[in-house]
This record gives sequence, C-alpha cells and structure tokens, in this order.
Amino acid sequence: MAASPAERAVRPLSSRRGLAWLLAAPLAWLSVFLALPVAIVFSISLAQQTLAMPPYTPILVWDAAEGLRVNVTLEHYAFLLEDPFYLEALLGSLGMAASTTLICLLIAFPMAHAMATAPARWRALMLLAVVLPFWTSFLLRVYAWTGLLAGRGPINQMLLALGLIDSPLPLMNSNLAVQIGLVYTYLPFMVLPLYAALDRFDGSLLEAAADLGATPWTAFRTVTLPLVWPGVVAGSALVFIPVTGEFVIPDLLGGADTLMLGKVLWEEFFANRAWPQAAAVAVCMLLLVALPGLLRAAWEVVTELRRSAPAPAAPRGDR
Amino acid sequence: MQKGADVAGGAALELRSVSRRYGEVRAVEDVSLAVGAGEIFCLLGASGSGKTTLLRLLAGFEVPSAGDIFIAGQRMNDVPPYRRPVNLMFQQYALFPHLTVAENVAYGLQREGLPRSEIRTRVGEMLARVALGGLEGRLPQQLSGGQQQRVALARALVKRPRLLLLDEPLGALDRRLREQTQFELVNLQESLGVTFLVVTHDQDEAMRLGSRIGVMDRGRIVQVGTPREVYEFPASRFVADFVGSVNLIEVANLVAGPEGWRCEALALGCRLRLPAAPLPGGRTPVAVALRPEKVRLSVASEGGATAVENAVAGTIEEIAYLGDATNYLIRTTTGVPLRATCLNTAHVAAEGLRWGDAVCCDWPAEALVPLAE
Amino acid sequence: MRGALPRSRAALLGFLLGALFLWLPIVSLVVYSFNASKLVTVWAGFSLRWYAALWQERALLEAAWLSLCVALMSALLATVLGTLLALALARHRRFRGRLLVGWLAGAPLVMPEVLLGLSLLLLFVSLEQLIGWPAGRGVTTLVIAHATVALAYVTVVVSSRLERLDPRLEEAALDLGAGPLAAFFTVTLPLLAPAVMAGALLAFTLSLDDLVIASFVSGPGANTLPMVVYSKVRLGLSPVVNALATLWLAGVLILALIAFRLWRAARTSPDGV
Repeated sequence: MAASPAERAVRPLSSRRGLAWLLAAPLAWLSVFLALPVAIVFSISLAQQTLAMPPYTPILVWDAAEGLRVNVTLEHYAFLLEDPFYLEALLGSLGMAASTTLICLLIAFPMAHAMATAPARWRALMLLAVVLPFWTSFLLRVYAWTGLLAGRGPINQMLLALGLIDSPLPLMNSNLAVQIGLVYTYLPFMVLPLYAALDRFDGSLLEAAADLGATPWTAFRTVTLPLVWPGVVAGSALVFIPVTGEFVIPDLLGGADTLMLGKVLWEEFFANRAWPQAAAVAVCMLLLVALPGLLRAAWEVVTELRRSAPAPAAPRGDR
Repeated sequence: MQKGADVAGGAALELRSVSRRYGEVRAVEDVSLAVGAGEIFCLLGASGSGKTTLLRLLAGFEVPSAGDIFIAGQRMNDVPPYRRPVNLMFQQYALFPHLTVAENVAYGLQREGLPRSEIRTRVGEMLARVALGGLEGRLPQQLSGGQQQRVALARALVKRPRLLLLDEPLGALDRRLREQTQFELVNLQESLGVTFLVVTHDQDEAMRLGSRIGVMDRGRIVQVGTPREVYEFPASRFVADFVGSVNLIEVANLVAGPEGWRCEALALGCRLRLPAAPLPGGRTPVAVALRPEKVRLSVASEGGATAVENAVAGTIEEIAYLGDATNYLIRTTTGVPLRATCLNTAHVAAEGLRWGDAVCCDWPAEALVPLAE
Repeated sequence: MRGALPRSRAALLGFLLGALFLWLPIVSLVVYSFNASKLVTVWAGFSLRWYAALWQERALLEAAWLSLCVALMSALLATVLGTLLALALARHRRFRGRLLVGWLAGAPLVMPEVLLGLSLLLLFVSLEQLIGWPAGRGVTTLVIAHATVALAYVTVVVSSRLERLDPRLEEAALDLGAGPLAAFFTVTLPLLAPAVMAGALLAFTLSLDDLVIASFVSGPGANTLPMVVYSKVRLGLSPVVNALATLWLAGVLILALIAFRLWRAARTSPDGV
C-alpha cells in the first residue's frame, strides 16, 4: 500500500500501520478459528481410528527409538471410494441441491418480479412477507412441516375430506418431504438477490428492445436475463451450497432412503464416532462445494486488483 | 462585475513552482501564482487539466511533489488540512447526511472547541446571511439543490477562513439558479472580504465571478489575467480557443511595418494587417485570433472582392438564430470556414442574410490578436 | 430517468402463492399452539395450556437463556471484528495477502454448517490436547464458533455500506478542522452505524438459530435452545414446541416492527436506501 504522505496524515487508517491495527485482531481470529481448523480436519482425515477419546491416533508420533514418525493413512479416502454408500450420498446431495435450486428459481422469479414492480408503499410489506419467515427459527419452520405432512395432518385430512384419496398419503419421511422442506427453507435466499437485481433493472431497456423489434420473450432472453444474471448466480449459490451440506431437513423430514452428505457426516461423527472418516467426508465436501465458491471469490479479488491496478491516488470525482 | 486585482494588498495565497506527480503522470506542473487578499480568483480548465488537484493541494489533501505553498505568508506544505486556515466548499457539497443544517454549519466551530453560546450565535448569523433561517432542523437531503449549496457555503464560511476554496460551486445547479447564485456569491464575498479561489470548467462562470482568471492546461497555468485580458488578449491558441468562440488563422510571410505587421493568411486567401502591439519577448506571431463578433458581414457587391486587406468573400453555410445574436458559418472562397456573430439590435420580422447568400466579411486590424504559440 | 419494469398479473399471482407457501406452515404452528388436544394434528378447541406447560419446562427456559447469552456475546465479538475487517478491506485496496484475507473472510459464507461445526470441534479438541485450552466445551466454544461464522456476515454487510460511503464526507470533516480520529468518530462511524447494527442483528439471529454448529462444539450442560428443541422434535410432535414457536414469532414480529419504524424514520436520510 503506497499511501502518499498526505494520505498518511489525513487518514491514519490508510497507512501501513493503520492496516496493521485494523487487520491484527480479525486476521488472528480467522487464522486460529477458521484456517487452522480446516487444516486440522485435513490432517485428522489422514489419522487412524482408535477406541480412545479423541478417537484417532496422533499424526506425529515421538518415539525414543525412531525419533519423529509420521503416522498417516489414506484408508478413509479409499473407503469413500469403495463403499457405494458414499457415492450415493454425494449424488443424492448434488441432485437435491440442483432440484432445490431450480424449483426455488422458478418460484422466486415471479415473486421478485412482482416485488420489483409493486408500488413503493407495498414493497416494504412484500419484503417483510418474504424476510420475516427467514428471521423466524429455521428449526421451528422445519418442525411445522412435520405437522403439516403427518399421516393425520392437515394436508392429508383436507385431501381425504375432498375425496381425492381414500387413505392418508405417506408424505412424511420421504424424499418429497425433504424436497418441500428444502424449497421452503431456502426460498427467501433466492428471492432477495433476484429482487435486488430486478429492482436495479431499468425497464426502459425493455421498451428499447421492443422498439428495436424484440418480442417480449426475446427481450427477456437477450436483455433482462443477462442483466439480472448476477442475481440469479448469487441466489443459486446461496441455495445450492448450504443444501449440499444440509443436515436438519433430511434428518427430520427424510426417510431411511434419504441419503445426503450432511447427514452422512453427522452420523459418522455422532453415531459411529468415526472422526477420521467424518473428516474425510468433510474434506471431500469442502473440495466439492466450497472450491467453486472460493475460486469465484479469488477471481473477484483478482479482477478487483486488476481494476484498481492503474490507480494513482487521483482525486475521485463525483460518484 | 470586474474588480481591480489587488495583489499588492498582501498575498492571501502564494504558490512557488508547485508540482504534483503521480508516477509518470504530472497532474500539476510548476505552478507559480499569487492571489491577493479579497480577490475572487478563478481557475479555469477542462477536466483533467489539474485544477482539482491544485485545489486539493491547497486544502491539504495532497502534498506537493515539489515547490512551496504559502497561505497568508505561512508555509503550508506539511500542515494537515485540519490545521490550515483554509476551507473547501466541495463539489456536490459533501454535506453530512446524518446532521441537520445547523449541525452541519456548527461542525467546524465545535472542532475549534468554542463555547456553545458562541457557536449558536455564529451559526444563526451565518444561516441568516445565506437566507436559510428557519431551516436549521432540516436534514440536507430535505433541501433543494440551491439550499444545499448555501449550506455548504455557510459551513465553510462560518469558520472565517483566510481563503475559501470552491470546487465547481455552481456546477450542480440548473442554469437559471446559477445566474442568481453567482450574484449572491459575489455579494457575500464582498461583504465578508474573504479571498475566494474558485475552480470551474465553465468559462461563463469564470468570467462572471472572477476578478482574475487563471487558465490551466495539462497541469500548467498558461495564462493569468482579468476576464477582459484573457478574452481580448489570449496568450496562446489554446486559451483563445478555450475561452469563448474564436477563428484561429495561421499566418505567414510576416513583414514588420510602421503601423504593425502585414502578413498572409494562406488558408483564407487574403492579406492581413495586424495591430502594432508587440508580442511578449519580441516573438513573431504564428497565428492570429479573430473573435466572431468582431467580424462584419455585408452582402457581397456585384463584382467580387472589395477590400484588399482584412477582408474575405464567401457564402453563408449555416445560420444559428439565438435570439440576441445570430451565428453564421461562412464558407470562404478558399473553402475554409469562418465564424461570424451579429447582434440582432434591430427589431425586424424579416430575415436578413439567408443560407447560400454570397457575403463579404471584413474586420478592423485591432480585432486581430497575434499569437506567438 | 429509469423506466419501470412492466407489471405483470401472473407475477403478482406468483408472489401471492409464494407468500402463502411461506406463511402457511407458520400460521399452522401458531394455530395448533392454541389447540387443547395433545395431538397436534387434531383440533379440540382453544386452550392456553401449552403456554403454561412451556413455563414448566425448565430445560427449555434454561436453554433459551443460554442461547440469548451466547448470541449476545458472539454478536458483539463478530460485530467488532467484522467491522475492523471491513474497514481494512475498504481502506486498503492493495496489499500483499489481501486475496488470502478476502478468502478467509468469505469462507464461512460458502462452507456448509456441518463442515464448520466439525472443523471447529476438531480444533477445540486438538487445542485442549496441546495447551489445555479450552478446557472442555461449553459457552466459550459456542461463542467462538458463532462469532467466527457471523464475522463473515458482518464483514459483508459493513463492506457494502463502506463502499457506498462518499470519501469526501470524511475529507469535509478534516477540512472543517476535525483531526483524523475526530473525523472518523463524528462522520464515518455514525454513517456506518446502520450497517453495523444490521450486521450485529444478523449475527445475533444466526447464533440464536444455529443447531448444527452448536451440536458439534457444545459440551455437556451447555444446551442451546435449538438443541433442546431438536431433541424434543425428534421424539415427535409436541404442542409445547408450537407454543414456543408462537412466542418466538411474536418476538420477531415486534422486533421487525421496531426495525421497520426506524427504517421509515431513517428513509428520509439520504444514505438510507
């Protein structure tokens, strides 16, 4: 950071020392409680399972005879490949995440569109209608579905009363229930970025497109979609990533055949006490899920650096 | 509204060979300037000419790479902005959005640690002075553009600075409001006696406000003078072209005579007689400037060219009727365009000259300004 | 001048259906909390007995208190650290390691909860083995874990506000005689306050709502409200949980109402938006 002497005098936070002051505490915190844990997960995924507490052998062993010995194994990764159970869980997770993202997108787009075009006095209310469920306890909202979908719950009772079915449908503990729960929980995460993107969208562009001969569908495809695409991407990431690792919803609403990575990791850890195996699952999950996100974040930082690269401290004009 | 420059009355501001470079970029280059107390000095330049950087150097947000800045006789190079006897009225005002009008104006006085009662009186006086009485409790965004401008002015002036820097003070106002505000600004300046340094890209604004104008180009001040001097006697082709509208005519084959120079304007295909006034440094002119309003237009008489010198024939190619004046573009016989402006002093319904008319243009020798660069 | 998007009836219908979908389960939770029957699915008349029963559930009440404490402490920590980080990233566009810091700050946003929970627990276990701290798991580990995750959210919220903050406002303060520190505290910080508050609120809610990470990093005797609710819910439907949900919703509604009022009042301010 090449701050000019003036900047140093004027904005102490902009100096190198200012940076050190600002960065010291958060950076130390993130290093110890975020970077280090990920490293530890990685190392423990290479450790051997034992019956002690904690249930894994140390990676580095000090031996009087042999000196320092590295005690690692790849058996947990090998096991991930051997047992089709894990592959199924992985595919189940990715499938669920993809379908949830798609369904959320389909429901959220009209909602966001309606919000962005509503009169100003209605907007705040509509925003609240979407945000408030999101602020209500996630666990309690999932719990609500266990009641609604129960064998003698309101949905089955209504269907029975209407004569559409003769006996209650087994809605609970099924993949359908999990799908409903996931869409329900993550819908606001899709609506909000889409709304933000559509709200910024200049409607006169559509008039310009129409004037130049575009049909509404063409205009949507060639003008609206490219311009709100960042919102679509953001919303999809906000839905897809957490769904892949979701545990509570498949646990409460799903059945025995619901296989998802988050649940597998949880059960390896809590039920089987197989910490190294859980860590191996975690490393795979990290690679699969977080890597695209991290790469994207890195790309953003790089473009930002590139954009600010030829930046002499030239006075900034009006915004 | 031009007032005599009073540089002798003690320089409020003096710059000695001030430069500011960012790596290879020379934002301000070797600027020397003295501004007298009580002056309104306008820095006029296109965007990127370095005028804003110069302003920021004076306010203390930038440090010169070379040279010295003196304000009221004191060297300011290393003094941070909050210890300079200078205040800046920001472009777009930079009013604190979380503070009311009164709080905005009081902000600078509170920083001085003045007693509450004094702050209240001074804020009240200043707001009354800029006709904002009654709006003390409003937030900036609840004000009109003109009111915001006056708050910004009051906030800077209430500190009683030796020197007030104004960055495009009228730039954010619409045209009608701008003219009215110009007068208010000058009146305020006269009654308070504060030295103003105004940065603007608008030559009209500079001419109306400034007791003197400094024209900036690529980091340098290329001419300093009263508005009349800058307009009537531009020092270079750049200044002539930047301030007002002008015909620039390249000249050759100069012959110095007793009544001035005689030369040829090859492009126009005519001979010119220039006034006798010598150029600084005894240099010879390479071009002359001719303001369009100094060109006389007359219907060409049968038989072609009339005068031998300072006249040219042509046809009218474009006419722009502006109400008070009409601008003509004349295609001369050599094919070079010449601009002429005629004041519409007579109240007549009929159009005078028409598109395609053959005309004769001529001008007095004094209208030609010899330019050495 | 920006043009408006054309309104669409179909989209409005879509919104109403979507809102119905979002609210129906919540309404059903509230309705059945007033059900006299123990069977959550059968309506047997109005009653407040489950609210009385809720009051008797010591475990739930203790967990609620613990959750509130953890949420408050972690929100405070996350807000301070996140604001510092946002300032560092906003004021310093280029420094060696900015990329890495950006990654670290953004990572919790893209990491599944089970991952964060597992990695933090393994850290605490390893640290305890190595240096004896933290001794066991409980409130301390909960606060650390929640603060770590919330830090990322606070950084994002505060950064976006900082980016839209006009740098000339701080310059104006300096020009008017405020020293750098005074300028920061009288201009920058007040203008940043809404974002900092929003970040703090988000951190608080995230902590209060978290089940997965808490299940990993908490220890015996330190059960948060979601943990207790989860163990009850796993055993089947319980009207007491409905009563709890209703109270929770009422709390959120009241908070939202206050926030809405504040937002309306602040909307006249320009930086709002």
